[in-house]
Amino acid sequence: MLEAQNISLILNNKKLIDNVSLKVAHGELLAIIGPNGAGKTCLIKLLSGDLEASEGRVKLFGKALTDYSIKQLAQTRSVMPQSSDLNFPFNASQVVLFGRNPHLDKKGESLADLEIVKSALADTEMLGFSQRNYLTLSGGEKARVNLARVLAQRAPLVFLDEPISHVDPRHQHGILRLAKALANGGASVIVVLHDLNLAAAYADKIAIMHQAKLRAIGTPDEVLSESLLEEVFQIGFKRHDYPELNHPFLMILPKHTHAEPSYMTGYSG
Amino acid sequence: MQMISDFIIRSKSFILSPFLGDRMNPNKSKNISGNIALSVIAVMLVLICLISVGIGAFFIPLDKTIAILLSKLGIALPIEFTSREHAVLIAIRLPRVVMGVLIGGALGVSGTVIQGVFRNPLASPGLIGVSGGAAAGATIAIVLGFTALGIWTLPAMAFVGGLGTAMLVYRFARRGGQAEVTTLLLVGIAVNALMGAVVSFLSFVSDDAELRSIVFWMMGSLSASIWKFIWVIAPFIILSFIFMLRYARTLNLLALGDAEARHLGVDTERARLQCLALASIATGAAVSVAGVIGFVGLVAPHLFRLILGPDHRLLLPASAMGGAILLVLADLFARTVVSPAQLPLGLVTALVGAPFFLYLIERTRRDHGGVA
Repeated sequence: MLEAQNISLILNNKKLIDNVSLKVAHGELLAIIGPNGAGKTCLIKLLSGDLEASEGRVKLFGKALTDYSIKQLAQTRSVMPQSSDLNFPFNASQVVLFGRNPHLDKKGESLADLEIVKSALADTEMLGFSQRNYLTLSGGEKARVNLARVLAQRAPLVFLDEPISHVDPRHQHGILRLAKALANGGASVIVVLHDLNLAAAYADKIAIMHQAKLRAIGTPDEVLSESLLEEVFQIGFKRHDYPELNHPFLMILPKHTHAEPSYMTGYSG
Repeated sequence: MQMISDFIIRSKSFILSPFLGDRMNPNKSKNISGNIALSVIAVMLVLICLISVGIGAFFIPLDKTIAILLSKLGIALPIEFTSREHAVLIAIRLPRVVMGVLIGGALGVSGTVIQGVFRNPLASPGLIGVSGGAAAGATIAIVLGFTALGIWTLPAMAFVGGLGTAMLVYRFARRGGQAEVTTLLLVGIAVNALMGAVVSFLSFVSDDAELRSIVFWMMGSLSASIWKFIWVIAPFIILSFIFMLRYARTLNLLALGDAEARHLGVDTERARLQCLALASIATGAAVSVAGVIGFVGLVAPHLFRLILGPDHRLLLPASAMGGAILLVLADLFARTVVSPAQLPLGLVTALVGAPFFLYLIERTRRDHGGVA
């Protein structure tokens, strides 16, 4: 469905993405992990058509991303942003209704669209908040409204950029379960995550970005090795394969953590 | 202020809220309730116009006003009126009120569009240089004594100055096919300062009569309300208004920010250019005949966002009619309070608008913990 062929992104003479190739199939949930500044967000922007690759190309349904019109692209892929900086006091259901825009004609929304909005809010457990001013919602609630908007867009390719960073543990699992359900329904879902155990639990495949390169891609079992994670994240990992879990479980070991902050040294003696 | 706050609370809870409750409910169509709210505002506008055309040094009662207006449409009512009443109404009062409706509407709807494009509730048509450029154009015409186009010289120069400046701001802010909103704002500030310098310099070298004309123009007035001007600015304002209405949903989506609006199928750069062009044309046409009139374009969108919510499908027509109401009332005040002299209209709108705007900010801060 989605295929990146040797894509690179060069901005101001800096290689932000270096020769990445990957494929995402129907029904697949791909998690992208990697340290800060490794190029996860840039990769998402290239794959979703926000940015054009300096080299190589991205194909969606066999057609180059650059050949899609803005509207066609909106009908084909949806993107949940890290945060949405709305300045006007729309309520939650109005924000979710925005997700229907690519499917609307001049007449505007129909009752069917409003039903879709309602079920998206129900799926994200935000139905009770539908009349609430988006601006007054908490970070986690905003994230769930944004996810509902993405659900309402009903696109076969879904990007979620750190969807759970402001969300409590129960709703973290809720959001990833929804992402998994989308994939099981035939969509391709690409999600940027920082929590390796959640990535291991929900992703079909994990891509590890490191210094603008795709360092590894494969099933959680294949790529989440202690040595590779230690190399990429510069911190110790201990991997457990519990028989009751069908995915690896990782523990972080603070064995080589950051250097002592320099401002602390003056107090030591 | 207490009166105004009472008015808002009352109008919100008693007049509009029963319908707004429905509008916010995704189960019901937005159209029915929204249309009722818009109808209420339209009826208010018509009533205020009918009453204010009658008020002035020569008073014309409401029944006679209606009889005269209907007689123009060929409908005779059994109400008698004198030819003097007819003449005053048709030649003096009516053009003034019609002008007020057109200009107030243009400023109100342009303000809403510009706030939507800039995603900033504090933006106004002045930001992209239309008013500043129009002022520079008008000042040049006054001081250099242009008369090539007769009575059209001043409006034409102001219109060209306003549109030209807006285009300049946009071209300058554009880089690599994209005009960043923040850049646009900053360029707008710089270009406005430049236009201000032009006006200052020309004021400095002008003689007393010219200076008086400049000051008068800068303070805004509807005293140049003749039918000839109305027939010329009306098409600009009405057409750009109709086109702006078609961008209502796009403006809603732009509120999410550029990247997300694009994710949802909006060609943001094109939409922004077209919206700014339409708002510039409407504002330019308005200021070209009335001079600089502040605060209508800032207050009308705010007021109706507070009452009706941020959906531009309601907000655009509401702020057009609301701007018209505000300006007709302000002009009524300006031309009657020190009669037979007239206060400058821009002075009245600023005098009423500024404290009211402060009140809106305070109220919003109390309710939402932020300016929105």
